[in-house]
Amino acid sequence: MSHDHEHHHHGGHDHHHADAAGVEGTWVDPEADDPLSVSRRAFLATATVVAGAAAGLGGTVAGVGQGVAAATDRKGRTSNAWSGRPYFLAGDHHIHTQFSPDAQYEIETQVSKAQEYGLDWVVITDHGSVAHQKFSIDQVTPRIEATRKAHPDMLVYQGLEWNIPGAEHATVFMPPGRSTVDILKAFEGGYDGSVLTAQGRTTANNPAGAEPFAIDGLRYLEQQVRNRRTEIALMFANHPSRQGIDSPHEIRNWRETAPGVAVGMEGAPGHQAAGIPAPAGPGGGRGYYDRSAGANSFAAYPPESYRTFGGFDWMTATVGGLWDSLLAEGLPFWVTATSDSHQVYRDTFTPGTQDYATTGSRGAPIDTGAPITSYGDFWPGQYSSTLVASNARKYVDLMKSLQAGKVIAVHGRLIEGLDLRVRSPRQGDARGVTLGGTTWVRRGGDVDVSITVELAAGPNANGDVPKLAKVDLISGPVTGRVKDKDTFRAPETRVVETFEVRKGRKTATFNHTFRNVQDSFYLRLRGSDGKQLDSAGNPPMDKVGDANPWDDLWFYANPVFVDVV
Amino acid sequence: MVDRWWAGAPRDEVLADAHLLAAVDEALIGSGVSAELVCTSVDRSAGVPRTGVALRLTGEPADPSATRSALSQTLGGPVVVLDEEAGQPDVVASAALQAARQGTAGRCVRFPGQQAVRGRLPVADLVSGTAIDELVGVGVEVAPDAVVDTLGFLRPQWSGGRLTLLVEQGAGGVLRPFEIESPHECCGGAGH
Repeated sequence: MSHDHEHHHHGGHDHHHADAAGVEGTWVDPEADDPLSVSRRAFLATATVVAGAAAGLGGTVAGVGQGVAAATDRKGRTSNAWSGRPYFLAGDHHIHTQFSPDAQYEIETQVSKAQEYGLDWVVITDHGSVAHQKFSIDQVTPRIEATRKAHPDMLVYQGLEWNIPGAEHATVFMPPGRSTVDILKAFEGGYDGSVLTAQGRTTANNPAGAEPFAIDGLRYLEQQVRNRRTEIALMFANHPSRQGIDSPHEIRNWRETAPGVAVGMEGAPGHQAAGIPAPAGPGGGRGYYDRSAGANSFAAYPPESYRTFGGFDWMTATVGGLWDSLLAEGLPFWVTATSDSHQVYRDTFTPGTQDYATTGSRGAPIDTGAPITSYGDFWPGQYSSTLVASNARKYVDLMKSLQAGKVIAVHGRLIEGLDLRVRSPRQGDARGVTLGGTTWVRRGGDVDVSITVELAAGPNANGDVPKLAKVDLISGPVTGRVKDKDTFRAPETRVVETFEVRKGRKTATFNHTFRNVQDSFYLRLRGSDGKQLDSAGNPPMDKVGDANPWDDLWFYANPVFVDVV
Repeated sequence: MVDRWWAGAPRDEVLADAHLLAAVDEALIGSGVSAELVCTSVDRSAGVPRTGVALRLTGEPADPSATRSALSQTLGGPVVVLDEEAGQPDVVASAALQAARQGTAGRCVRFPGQQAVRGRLPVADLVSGTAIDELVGVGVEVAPDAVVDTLGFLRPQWSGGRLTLLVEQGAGGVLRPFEIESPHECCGGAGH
């Protein structure tokens, strides 16, 4: 990224940029307008970014470039600069094993299956609990180390499915490191909702009273990054709409408390086989989304929020819904797709007989020899993939790309990848940015969006070669922070163009230009196989007991923000 | 006859549907009346959600004060009676009573006609045969000749003065209740 300060002359009163609020005072010096001082300003701005990552400003991770951009005027900040066709690593951040009381597989089995189904990275996330904290973690650690040796091409992360105090579950994970296991143990012991309830520090019928513990837990994780005990730690809210207990203000509070840690949510929950009709399948709610509002639910969520739409969570699948309401605030928040694999549809194994509460493990699973059709899950990678454009097949690099939102959530191999470039060649950032990024345009300028979709190059795990039928370009204005933190609508967000995909090609390319842009906005993409659409082209609510996941495939790409300067 | 509405603030242990009905019925033994409609509603005014229960009795109990004290005992919390409260009645019980009486909120665990319907039946029969006023579809239009599979479990809710059953599209072209008896339990229900 170049920073041509000299080419943009502007007044000498341009130092007060919101992004640099933390060190604003230090910039007020007589040399500030001297071109030679630019390097110093760049240094200070960089320091801001580094400190900001710890102090709560680190949501966009762009290092030096972002810092310098913040120190200029009439040029926006950029992050996730476009750098040519991306290389995606497919993965899954939500996988259970015999170290969960309701799951059964060996870690090695899950990792092998993930590799068989084409994944490059996985996170082992057994449920947090007293027994897990006490007995499971120390059994999980050596097994994960063994799978790393046995699968040198795979990135195998040790994580946790955190019971968020007062709310749903979340994936929490870190890269391998000297302190990773210590941090996981301390975090679970201090901030897991199940552990806190067992200790009598929170109660199940007072979720609001538990909310501060979630905030403290996220602060703790961020502290570990700041203290460099771990290079990075991430949290994704899992199955956020399943019980209606992740209220909008809680999600906003998590994001605000730890913007470098609480970076997203499952756009699509796991358990995608659960809606396969009986008797061939479980005949339940897709994603096991079959509930209705309870006493602890956020009362304003409508009934349909308790179901999936095209396999995706209502927060993500609703155009102008909760996810869009966060993006419309300018908040980076990303969506993923995972397996939540506990017990796999038509697998023949049942859990081992070991007592979980006293050993932290179900023991070795037992082969019944007969396929079990009541199981509602897929193997990692069999159906759901989180594609991450990573610079390298390395633990920290991949997590940084996840943190930066270079992410696509894909079902059933609907697409292989996506090259998204958003730029303003003449009136702004000419190079442009990609998924999860922020770019800029001068007021009144045009913004070009170019989209190249890599179509499925072969059969998915069901033996079908999926055919992408359409891609929707969705956009809405960035209207700033909301007054009511329980907002879950973004009424101005809409599908601005739908592209039909012509058959028989390896890639599909689309373009769209936003002309005469007056206000900051964001855009995002989703695509469908076109088999299940309502009259507006949206995914209909999935039918409980009648949702074959292979006949309803979608992808959701993470947004790009465009600042008007 | 004037409706006899009573309400209570049950302790957590009796909130499950079956426990709640058992507590109500036990208290009414020998009173000469029964609870024909039992519904719960959640009061969020104090920050902590509290569930109250409202009952519509079939008449005036023979010994109202004895029945009231029996109900208070089986529910494990205070009981209020419509139009009889002086001083400061229990907030949770009063909220449940008003919500049910005015039909603004409340999830009916028991309602008139509940026992008469089972299996699959047309929407019209469900409305004519029970206290349910209306079926409202979630993600689906409810045609008058549509068929509902009751799945042996109906929990209609008060909304706008009407007892409303939420339904959704199920497999095989039939509607099904939106709330079901046994939704999938994560972690065997023990995770949280």
